[in-house]
Amino acid sequence: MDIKNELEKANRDIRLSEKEKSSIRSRAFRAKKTNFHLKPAFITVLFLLTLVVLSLPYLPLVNIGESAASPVNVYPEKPISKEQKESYYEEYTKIVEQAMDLKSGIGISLAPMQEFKETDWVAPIEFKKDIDEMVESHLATEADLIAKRESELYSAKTDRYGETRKNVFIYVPDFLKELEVTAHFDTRYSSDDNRQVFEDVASVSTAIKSPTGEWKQTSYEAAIIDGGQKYVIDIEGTFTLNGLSYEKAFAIEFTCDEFGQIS
Amino acid sequence: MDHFEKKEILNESMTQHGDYIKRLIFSYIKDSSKAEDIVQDVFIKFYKNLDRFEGRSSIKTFLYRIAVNECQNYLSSWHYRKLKITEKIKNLEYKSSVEDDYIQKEQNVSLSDLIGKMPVKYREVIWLHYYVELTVPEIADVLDCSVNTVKTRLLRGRKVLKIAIEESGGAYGYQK
Repeated sequence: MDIKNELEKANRDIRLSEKEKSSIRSRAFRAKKTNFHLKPAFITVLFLLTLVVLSLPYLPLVNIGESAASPVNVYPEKPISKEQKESYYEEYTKIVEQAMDLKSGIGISLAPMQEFKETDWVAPIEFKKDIDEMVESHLATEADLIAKRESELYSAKTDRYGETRKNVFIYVPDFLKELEVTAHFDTRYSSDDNRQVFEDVASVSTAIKSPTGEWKQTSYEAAIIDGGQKYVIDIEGTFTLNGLSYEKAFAIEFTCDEFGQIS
Repeated sequence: MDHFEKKEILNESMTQHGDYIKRLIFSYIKDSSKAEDIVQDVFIKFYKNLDRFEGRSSIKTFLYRIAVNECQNYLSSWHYRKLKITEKIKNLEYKSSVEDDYIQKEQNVSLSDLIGKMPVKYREVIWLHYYVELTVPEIADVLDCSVNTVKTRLLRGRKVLKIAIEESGGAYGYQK
């Protein structure tokens, strides 16, 4: 196994798709086409400018500053004061904490305040937009990668001691890691529905199946839905690789069929 | 260079180097949606600048230089400098050198993982040399640094990898 093959194997899902190529062509060639229209466009702009200048004396004076709706100023025009910076930094910290509370597996850290340049200070609303985009992009990548490999997971199995095992993928930058969730379910016969339904769950635990990294479950919360036909278990834990830890929360669903088989 | 010639070079380059460029970008950025944006910008910039291509380097190194520049620009941007979507360090024990730390912890990790966790300056030369198969002078051209700098980084990068591989029980064949 050589380095090239190993990198090729690990990155085989990353490809420049035909759709992307076509988008590149269209953007590149469109940019080129604008050159052909530069002259007529320039003449048109010149004509309009002349028209505006000529008609200026006939236009009523309008105080634009008062009539225009003031847009949200996301990039302060002047250097902001020390107090404002502290206040902004406090806001930034809260926004980052809120994002981290999602335990999406992404790790976001804020650089020390002293490292911020004047141009780095943006309104908290803009900062939040940036953070939200990061988290959304991370979750989209996770959904995409899991969808591609979900078929590799074994279906749930229940052993003779009543323990059910089901595997899931979790995504922490930049890997998918496989976890095995074990739980002990009790089912009962529901005369109202004339079928078996879930009654209780206990001993929910998780173990890492991937060869690298460590997983430590910190909590779980289970809820019965769909009239006892499904159990949704929210699990939280910490994944550690090479001394770096990522907090991760994920949900797993178990289904009870009419005969009490769990999948 | 006329329009048709440029069009042809763009198409050919996307076919030959598209996957490689995208993977290289991902190795820097580690964010697939951002890598998608950047790969588009790289090829558009490449196309627009073909008129300025003087033939002193190959088309391949010209393209990779643009890709590396775009990645480095992104990594030094506000977005990246102020917010690092890398890791939340909790229990990291600080060691005297990155390499020592790196080698001790990587016992059971794939070669690709090992390379992915290397500091950028070593990672980029490893990628460009072993994966993209650029020569040392070509890498120097792409990274805009001296041939000796590339050699030193390659040597150190290889050393880190080699020791890590040996410590993992020689699971990977290591050549060069």
